[in-house]
Amino acid sequence: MKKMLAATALAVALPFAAVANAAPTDAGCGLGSVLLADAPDTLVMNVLGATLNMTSGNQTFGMTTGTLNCSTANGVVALQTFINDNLDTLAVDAARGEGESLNTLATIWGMDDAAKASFAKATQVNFGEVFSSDSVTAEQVLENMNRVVSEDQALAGYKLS
Amino acid sequence: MPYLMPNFKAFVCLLLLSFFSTAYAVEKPTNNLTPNLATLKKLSQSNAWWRLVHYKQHTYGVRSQVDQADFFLHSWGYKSPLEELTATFEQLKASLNSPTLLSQNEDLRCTYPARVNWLARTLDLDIPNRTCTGLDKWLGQVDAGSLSMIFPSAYMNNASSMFGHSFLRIEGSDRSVKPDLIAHAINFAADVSEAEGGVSYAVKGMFGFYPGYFSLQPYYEKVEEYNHLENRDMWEYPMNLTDAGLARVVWHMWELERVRFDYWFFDENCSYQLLALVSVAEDHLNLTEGFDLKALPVDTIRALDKANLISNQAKYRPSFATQLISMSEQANPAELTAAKQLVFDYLPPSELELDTTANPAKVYELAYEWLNFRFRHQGVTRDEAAKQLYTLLVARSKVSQKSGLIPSATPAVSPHKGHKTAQFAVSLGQHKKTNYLQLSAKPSYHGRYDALDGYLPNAEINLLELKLRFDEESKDVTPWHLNILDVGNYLQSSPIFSLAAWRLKAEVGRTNPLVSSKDDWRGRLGGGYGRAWGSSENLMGFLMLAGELEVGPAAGHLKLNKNNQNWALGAGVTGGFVWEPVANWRTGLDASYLGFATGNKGAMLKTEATVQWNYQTNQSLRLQGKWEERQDSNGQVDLAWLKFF
Repeated sequence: MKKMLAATALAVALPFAAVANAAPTDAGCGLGSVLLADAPDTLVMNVLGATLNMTSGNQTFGMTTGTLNCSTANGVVALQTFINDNLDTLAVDAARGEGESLNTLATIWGMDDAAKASFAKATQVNFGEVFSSDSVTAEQVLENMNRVVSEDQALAGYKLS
Repeated sequence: MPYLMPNFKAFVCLLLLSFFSTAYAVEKPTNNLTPNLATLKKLSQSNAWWRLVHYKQHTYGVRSQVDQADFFLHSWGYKSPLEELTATFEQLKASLNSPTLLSQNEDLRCTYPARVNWLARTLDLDIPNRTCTGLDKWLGQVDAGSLSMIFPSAYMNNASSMFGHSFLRIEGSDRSVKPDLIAHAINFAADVSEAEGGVSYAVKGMFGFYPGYFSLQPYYEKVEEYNHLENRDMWEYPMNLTDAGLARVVWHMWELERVRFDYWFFDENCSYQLLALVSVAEDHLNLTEGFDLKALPVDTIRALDKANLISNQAKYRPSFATQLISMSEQANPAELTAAKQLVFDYLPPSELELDTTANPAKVYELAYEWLNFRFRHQGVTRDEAAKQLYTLLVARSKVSQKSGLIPSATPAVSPHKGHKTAQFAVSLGQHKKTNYLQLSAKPSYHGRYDALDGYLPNAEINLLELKLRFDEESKDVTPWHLNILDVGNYLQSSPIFSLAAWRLKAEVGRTNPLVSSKDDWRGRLGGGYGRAWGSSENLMGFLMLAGELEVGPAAGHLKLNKNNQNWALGAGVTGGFVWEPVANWRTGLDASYLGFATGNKGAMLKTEATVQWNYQTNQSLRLQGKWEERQDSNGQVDLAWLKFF
């Protein structure tokens, strides 16, 4: 399972590295994540996903496939992808009860402005339930968020089926 | 499923489809698709056509910068604008005259939409639209509403990043349903498939051995990469394109899918190719003009500014490090002490005894970001950090109060408004009592006494500065000095960061106007490592341990004798300050004392005092005195007029 906080060790920047190296933090929205959509979300699979993307011309080079998972039209897949790729910042935003990542997630979820505010509050109040441990997975986070949403009067209409 | 808002989305999709490829009416007979040769010749020389095929005039002829045969419709297309244009017409004719609709992989309207659109509007052709499943679906996914140029500026502790990077972002047609974080970044990057060492990477990159490709990825990945991993502040410049111009850029991206360009670090790099892409927006644009030798990202932003293509309302996105420093500056002593206990002693938040002046929300947020920074950048392992990071977030979530932390302020001047990066100078001076006139030039980038607006206050990088001198002794113009590299980072330590200051200098040149040039050259490679204090916006000081290698007949300024070595290696200390007492007047001192222990032995004291008046963004006056003492004395004073261009 992809661990929360499993940040990459790419922090040491080589000279010029920025010009060319897209940070392969995980498979993200590329072809690999499509091929592996049904595969278990392990760290190994993430690496493999990135590798597959590479061989198809690198994850970032798939002009046609690069956009597949990131469209809001993809619903649950989009939510899952976004949470997976932004777990750390989402956790911080949830703990603070506000932030750009959390707001973006609520937008992908389709919430209106009033619902976004309730959502931010609800994830803060239920932080320990949503982010249930330091090794929580994106799948669990989405599941937990959905439960919090369904139990919140103002948000119940947004429950994922 | 309310979150999908199916009706609204379908509506947006329809709108888009009608925008990009209208109607699917019965095909009409086509009009003049056989222009005469004169028209073709004229068109093939037009700017718009050259931009669409990426032609460039070289001394040996015309070449396209695309390095992939199947991008061209004619086998000579890479070097013949006319043949390529003729072939394009042939294919368009074939597409339109085909009794049955060609497949989308063969129909020019689906494969080269930007070319077709250009021909249609230039020759006023009535070209019927058709559906192209792949293209239309992709356009729907890209969902282009507006375009921004994104510039991640230089980052701390890595001077080479001053060369920076840039990329584009296509925002959605409705940003309230597609926030910028999930907009698409258009990146042009070298495909470096395996991990390669720095030197091999740099050399290959300089000589165009890597293939470069355009790509799309979610913007949040770029934010993670630049803001969080590399600590670069990002600037987002909204571009002023017309809807039609934006559509042309997007169509042209489609034409460039998986099309290879050789990647050159200095000129045909990311920033250059983005300018080439944006140039197709309007027929008259040729934004890469003037970037034949080098294309620094910040200069390409200036080119867009000059063409009135970017708005002045740039959005600033501070990096992880910038935010962390800002947070620490907003914390009072009690809050800082508490945060330190949480970060360094891993004190459980439940055992924290908070002073009444401390805001617990602020303490937890600061402690989290601080520890997270140590985890990501300063060697703290996941095992050490994870539990405490998580506990801090849980503690923060239980405080309903706001932290009151405000985002770090947007710098008053955005990077592209600073002085330009190349420099030319004329100076008059006296060296060993010999008067001289000197011309010097360097392609980049920023010296420590140059105007600070738009640059990092405590960093400098000067490359390839060549000085030519005419002196009254030799009555001749001689190449005097080449400053190969002069890089310094004088980062200040703060409550959060304990940072090293360092510098590196490589130079070769003459030392004495009174000695024949054959016996008077010396190469020097020197470096220093230490600490710096303060910001050169006001006053910055530094102190370092230093090492230096000298090579050449003039190593040590000694007259030749048989005991003289033509090299020397030594160590010592170096220190100095930069002070801006009055706005635009920058002054400072730099002094080193070195003992040469091997080679040409001896001790050396060298000092340099400077006053520079930056009276305009791109013009300065500088008075500089240098003194070196090593068995003989070597002094010079120099008054220079500097022009940045």
